[in-house]
Amino acid sequence: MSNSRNEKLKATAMSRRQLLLNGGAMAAGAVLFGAGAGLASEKAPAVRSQLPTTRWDAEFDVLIIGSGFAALSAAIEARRKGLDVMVVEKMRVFGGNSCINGGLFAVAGSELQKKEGVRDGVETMMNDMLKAGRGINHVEITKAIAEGSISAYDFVIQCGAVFKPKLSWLGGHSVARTYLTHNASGSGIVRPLVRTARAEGVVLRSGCKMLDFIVNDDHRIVGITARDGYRFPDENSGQVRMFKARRGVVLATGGFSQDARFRASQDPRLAGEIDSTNQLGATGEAMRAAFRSGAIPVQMSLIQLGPWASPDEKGFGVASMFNIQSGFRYGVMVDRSSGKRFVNELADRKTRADAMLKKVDANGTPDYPIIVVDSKGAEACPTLDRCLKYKVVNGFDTLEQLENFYNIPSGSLSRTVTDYNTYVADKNDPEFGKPLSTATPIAKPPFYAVRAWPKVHHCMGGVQINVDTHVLHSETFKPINGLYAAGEVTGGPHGASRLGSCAITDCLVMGRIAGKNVADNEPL
Amino acid sequence: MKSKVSIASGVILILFAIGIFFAPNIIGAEKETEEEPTVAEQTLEQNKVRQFTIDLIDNKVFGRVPVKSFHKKIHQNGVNCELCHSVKEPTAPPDTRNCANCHGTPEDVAKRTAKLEPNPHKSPHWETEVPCDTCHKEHGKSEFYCKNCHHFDYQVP
Repeated sequence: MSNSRNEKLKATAMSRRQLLLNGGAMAAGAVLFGAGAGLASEKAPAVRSQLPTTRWDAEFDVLIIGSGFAALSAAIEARRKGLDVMVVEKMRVFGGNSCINGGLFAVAGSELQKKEGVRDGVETMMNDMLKAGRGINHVEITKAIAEGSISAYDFVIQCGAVFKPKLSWLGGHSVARTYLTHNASGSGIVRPLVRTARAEGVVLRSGCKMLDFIVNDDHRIVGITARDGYRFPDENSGQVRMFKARRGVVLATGGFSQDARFRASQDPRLAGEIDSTNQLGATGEAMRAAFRSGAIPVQMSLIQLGPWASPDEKGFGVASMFNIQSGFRYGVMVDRSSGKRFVNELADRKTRADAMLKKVDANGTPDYPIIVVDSKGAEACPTLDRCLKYKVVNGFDTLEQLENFYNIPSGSLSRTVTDYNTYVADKNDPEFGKPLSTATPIAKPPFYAVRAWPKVHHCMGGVQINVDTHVLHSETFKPINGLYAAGEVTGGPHGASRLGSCAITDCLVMGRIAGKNVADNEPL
Repeated sequence: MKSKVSIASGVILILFAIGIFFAPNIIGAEKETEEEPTVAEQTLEQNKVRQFTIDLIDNKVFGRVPVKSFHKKIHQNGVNCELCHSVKEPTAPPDTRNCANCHGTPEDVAKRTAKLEPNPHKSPHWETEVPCDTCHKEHGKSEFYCKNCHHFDYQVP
């Protein structure tokens, strides 16, 4: 009997597997709706099992999808509860965006703040994040992030991270609360986490791309299908495998800044033309798999653009630092076609990026705005030589030469600069209200200029979670059993605009909570 | 069949001629390599024409999988796949850990290029964990992965 049964199972295995790959959850939904609507007769068979009939390729207690800050903290915490944990990373290297960012980490009420005499606390940090988020944050998660920041700091220190001994005061924060890693890169945290995870026995698997979640008859997430041996971006590379997660799956796959099509679905202004500061693998298909399994989409169209980037280089590049340190602070940003200013150069990221995106011609082709600063202002940028070497920033002896080079109408830029210099002298900008208390006039040649265009930087939206990092189901608003999420893949904590240096805090804090909670889930 | 062999042997003769013609250049160049940025870059440049001819004949006449000049010997002119792929007739890319059989561990490789700034084999982001064939493509054009974000560039052999 068991033999014939086995053969039967084998015969249907392929089609069932196909069904799963095409979105098992949707199929489940369809069957349920059918039954609910009374379309199925009493004789009709019950819901067909969602479980794969083939064998699992490997079994673990916990599967973590992604390998950035959130994924690694979740993995380490779950492992410390004595479980078998595998980290599944699509790319061939670990860390995703966490490895290539600036390594700025906001902590509320840190030792260093006490030492530097900065008064700060959970409430203050939370209020800063809510203010930047324009009040649409999911407050309870914002609060959890601020509350967990100190212990997240202790956690990464214990794993071996080293920070510079001075705090940074970033835009939008009411106090100095931001640590910077010793190498000014997020890898200063990721590498110690990778080493710790390995040393403590977490299995790390790169080149393994999650395709879909596997759901059982009780609507519990019990595992994943994945393309093992995957080589980005070859979608046919590797083999499809199935991994079981006895306690649950933690989704920590980041945002979708590099997926032009999906970006454009959420915000049509962000179709192909715009570059991104993100790693190439930030394409959000795992997030979409979670939506197919019932997760609630939150604030998906809120995509943060970095206004400091340049179209004359890839990614974050060298111009971003130049514009942050010098261009916006000590210079002006002008419309190329009129030579006139059009926004407060020190407004928040969203205000500036939105104003810049309007500078397009009738066909929608960008007419890149020009940022101009004099050599006094350029002194504030420590990397000016590299900017000039790679010809992203150009130097000119006179403003006329600068106008000619960028094809700005003759004389218009000089008029703008003359006006601006009188504003600087008055310490008052009647046109756009730029704060000018520390500004200097644009007078000392050579003059430096850079073409600017916003780049996609961070996705505020994502799947909805509760404070315990359970992913919520769109039908019941209750947790999907066995599915947890943390980091940029989740939506809500940052509202309309994420405050700089709060993403690392978000990932580490929520990742650790996810790791602890998935470990406590009832095993299958 | 016979004519094909004779074509091949004719071609090999031509190759020898070309090889002799270019050989003095290589010997002469070795003395002044200290001033140049990388040895690999130079070798590539000097062998451009010769390599192009060899590859063309190997790939078009013999229908072999293209391999890099410096690997030709060890690959037995593109016949021996097993060395890297671990199987006689590969259908999938090899495990790059096999590179270590000849080149040493990634750490050893990083030590060899320690003087380069930045060291292409020791990234601040991933240390020595970037798989070799992320940049070094044995059967195609190599590329420099760091270039996705950075301006510095290396001619990757």
